[in-house]
Amino acid sequence: MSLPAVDVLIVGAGAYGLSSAWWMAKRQSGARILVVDEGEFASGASGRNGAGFRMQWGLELNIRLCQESLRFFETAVDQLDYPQGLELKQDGYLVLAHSDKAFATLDSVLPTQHRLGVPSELLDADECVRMVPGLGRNRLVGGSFCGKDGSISPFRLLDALLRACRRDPNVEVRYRTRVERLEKSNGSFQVSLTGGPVEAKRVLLCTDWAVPQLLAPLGAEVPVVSLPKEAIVTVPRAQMVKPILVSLEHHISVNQVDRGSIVFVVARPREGTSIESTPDFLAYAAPKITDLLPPMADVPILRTWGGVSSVTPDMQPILGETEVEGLYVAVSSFRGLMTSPAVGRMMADLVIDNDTNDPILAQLGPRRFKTGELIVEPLLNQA
Amino acid sequence: MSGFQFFFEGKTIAAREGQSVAAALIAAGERCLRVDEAGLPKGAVCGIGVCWECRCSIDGSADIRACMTLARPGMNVRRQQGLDPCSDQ
Amino acid sequence: MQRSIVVVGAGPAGLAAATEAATRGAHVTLLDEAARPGGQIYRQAHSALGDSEYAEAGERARKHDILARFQSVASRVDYRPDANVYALFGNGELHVAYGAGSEVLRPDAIVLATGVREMAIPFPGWTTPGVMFAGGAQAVLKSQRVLPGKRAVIAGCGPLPIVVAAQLLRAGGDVAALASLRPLREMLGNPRALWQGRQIVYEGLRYLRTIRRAGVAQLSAHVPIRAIGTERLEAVVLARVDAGGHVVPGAEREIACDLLAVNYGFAANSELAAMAGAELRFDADRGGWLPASDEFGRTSISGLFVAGDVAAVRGALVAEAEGQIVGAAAAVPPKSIGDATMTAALRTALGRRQRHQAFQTAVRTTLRVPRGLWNLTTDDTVVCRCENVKLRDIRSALDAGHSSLNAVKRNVRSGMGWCGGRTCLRAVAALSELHAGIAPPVIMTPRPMVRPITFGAVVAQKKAVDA
Repeated sequence: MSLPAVDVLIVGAGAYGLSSAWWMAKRQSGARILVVDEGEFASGASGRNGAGFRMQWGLELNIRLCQESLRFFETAVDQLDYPQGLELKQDGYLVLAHSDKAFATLDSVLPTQHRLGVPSELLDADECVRMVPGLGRNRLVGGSFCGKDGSISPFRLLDALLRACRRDPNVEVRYRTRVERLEKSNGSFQVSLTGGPVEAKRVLLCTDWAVPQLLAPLGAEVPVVSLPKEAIVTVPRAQMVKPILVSLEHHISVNQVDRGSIVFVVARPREGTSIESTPDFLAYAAPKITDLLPPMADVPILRTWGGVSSVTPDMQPILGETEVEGLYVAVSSFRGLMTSPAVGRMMADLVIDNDTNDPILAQLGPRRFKTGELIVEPLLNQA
Repeated sequence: MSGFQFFFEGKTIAAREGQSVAAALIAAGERCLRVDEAGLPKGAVCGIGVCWECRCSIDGSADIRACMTLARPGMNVRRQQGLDPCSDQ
Repeated sequence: MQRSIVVVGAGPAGLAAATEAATRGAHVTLLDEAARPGGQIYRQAHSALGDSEYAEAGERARKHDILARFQSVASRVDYRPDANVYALFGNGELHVAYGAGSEVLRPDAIVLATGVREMAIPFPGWTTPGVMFAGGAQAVLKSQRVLPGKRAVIAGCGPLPIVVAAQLLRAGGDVAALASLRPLREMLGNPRALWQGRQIVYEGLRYLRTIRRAGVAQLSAHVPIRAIGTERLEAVVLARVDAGGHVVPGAEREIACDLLAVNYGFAANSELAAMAGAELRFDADRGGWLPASDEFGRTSISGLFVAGDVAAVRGALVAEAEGQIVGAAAAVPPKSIGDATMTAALRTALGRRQRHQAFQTAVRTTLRVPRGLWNLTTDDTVVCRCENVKLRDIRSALDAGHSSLNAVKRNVRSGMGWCGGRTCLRAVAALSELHAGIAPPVIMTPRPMVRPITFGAVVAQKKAVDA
């Protein structure tokens, strides 16, 4: 008995999964692509994140990933044929330092950014406060700013990718569809899915922290764990915070979206994969937020939510083929949305064209951990 | 204190002790309490604090529900325009 | 050991629950968002506004009695008005804000008596100032002593429009028309129900007499299909509808007015229970998403009880009896719930609840909204008022295959605004069912906060109180 067959099965319809599917379809190789997701539209980490993107990194590979992705965001309305718009906002991104050490790190990576053409600059505390008048001065030393960085609506981007994929006769996207079992025999994958089995020549796992549990039965592994975060959105307000903010010390990012609502994403060390808001979260986050931005004390909170992103040992994505031939992973390490266009393109290179020449891909493969040497991104290991 | 006055968009509104801002405005024939971000005029709807449609700017504070706020003598109530908090001069 | 109980809501169910639990010696905290107890039905005006009442004598007596009973135990109840219960977690933590401060409570038992809000069917022009929920217009009259309009059209289904029309007339208002979705004789056709609800039916007939004597135009099988006006309501267009709720062409009439008070039934305030993770069921006729509960108000979460309309819309008389029953259940040790001693002590309340519930079940059909009525919402009609989401936007998301309330929300922002979806969610669910066949509706994931509170109020939070 022959199973329904596809060329590529992508597991996970978040930013990585849908972007990979779209780029693969764009190659017009005739490959049949099936994307499955156990949740519903935008119900995973991509739909729950803070929406910011930035080119301000310390490593060339991260800067290049985000530069390529930004170029896509800037033309995505046309490329994805999505006239509704993606709520792309390029009012800049201000990375705040609340210690001399953090400020020195921001300073140290500036030459790399400038060499690669990132128009970033260093601001002292006064300049930061001029840019965001509500900023608290407690311990504030300064920041690094890039005016081309900004944010994009995760919902809009995912919807645009989904609609573009669904317009392509070779792509199918199925929600509420879980991978029950993944096996390999005779050179192809037999996959038990909610609603029936399917056979796939190649499989790409885009389920982030949930990748290991899919790999384990096949004897493969990649080092990634869950990274729960929680977020807060306020009622809409007239502009209070123009650029996106991130505070390395507070572990908080701030994005006032077009609608006027202010979104705070708060990282708090915690384990697990729960997307529920935790009872003590607000009491934990509110003093940090009012320390960072004192005028927030008077702003009503509309809603909180949780999400689970992922983190790898070197806080870098894991992109490439596993020890099982034909089985690929794309693990974001908590920056999935902002890198998704470049990663989607690379996964199409790799999975559809067998092209392994991309220098970034060469650095981010799953086998790199066997060497024991970790990539160090100064702006992440600092935080 | 039984009868007193407050201000709505510069007009004098009569109110009684114990009345909400919304009730006093309705009694004075003022229906439109806000113009929302899409430019739609909005008034009181649920009367019990559920719908948040009657949000006004009161003494410089934005988004105060007129139906849940007691009128006080001399208060300055403004018709919010979109997200403009109508800070008072 | 004295059990600690928090009752949320000071309407008939909450007052009765608090009274019963306090009588049984429990340590009771009663939280309510209003300034004075009574809830929506027994709403009290500020003392400075005096005590003229337009309600029937029977209702006034019930209000007086329940408030008096509560007063008799009030010294033993920690009653907190102006309280905003903004979150309830599965671990039993209740988060409450009071103006600029907040607090976390962790009692032995929680009774949610949060009642209902009015359910909207969006129609063209319904965002015009002057279009109100009927209960909202009544609240202005009842607690503010202000006529909510100079010339009113009252519309909808069930008894509330009748009550509001009569009370407006008694307060000296002008009612231009009373439009009812269904003819009243549907209810009058069930003699057994009439007998069981004779007290309410009698009051209803008195209200109807007020309306008839005033010469108000009564239009049955009519609904408002359009509100006219920009900055204020100028007129309402009423049209005849058939039994399926479809507008009959050519039977429209325009009536000048400055108030349209409309009610199409109620939606249960079940957000707190849902947020805590209590199992829900959906019953469109009884308030939509309802916490699944047993005869003693126990939900699927240990220590979490529901009483009154939030458990299923059945009116104030059921709510009061049920409040007493659930208040007792929350006050006794869990293993004693439903034992012989308890049920014997509650015999009167159990009987009263059963009797009034039978009446409510019989009149349920007069409150049912026929499916076709949702066609009043046109593509250009705003459905989610907070975020200005039109039916067209929702249909576009549905057409693109976004087939759940969560997915629609993520696409068009319906339910993401100030009111947290409490005004539009039932409509989004019904319209998704009508236009895309999505059923049964799964509730949009409930999240903190039920109502907005400021960061400052959280910062000023008192430490968790273990009672």
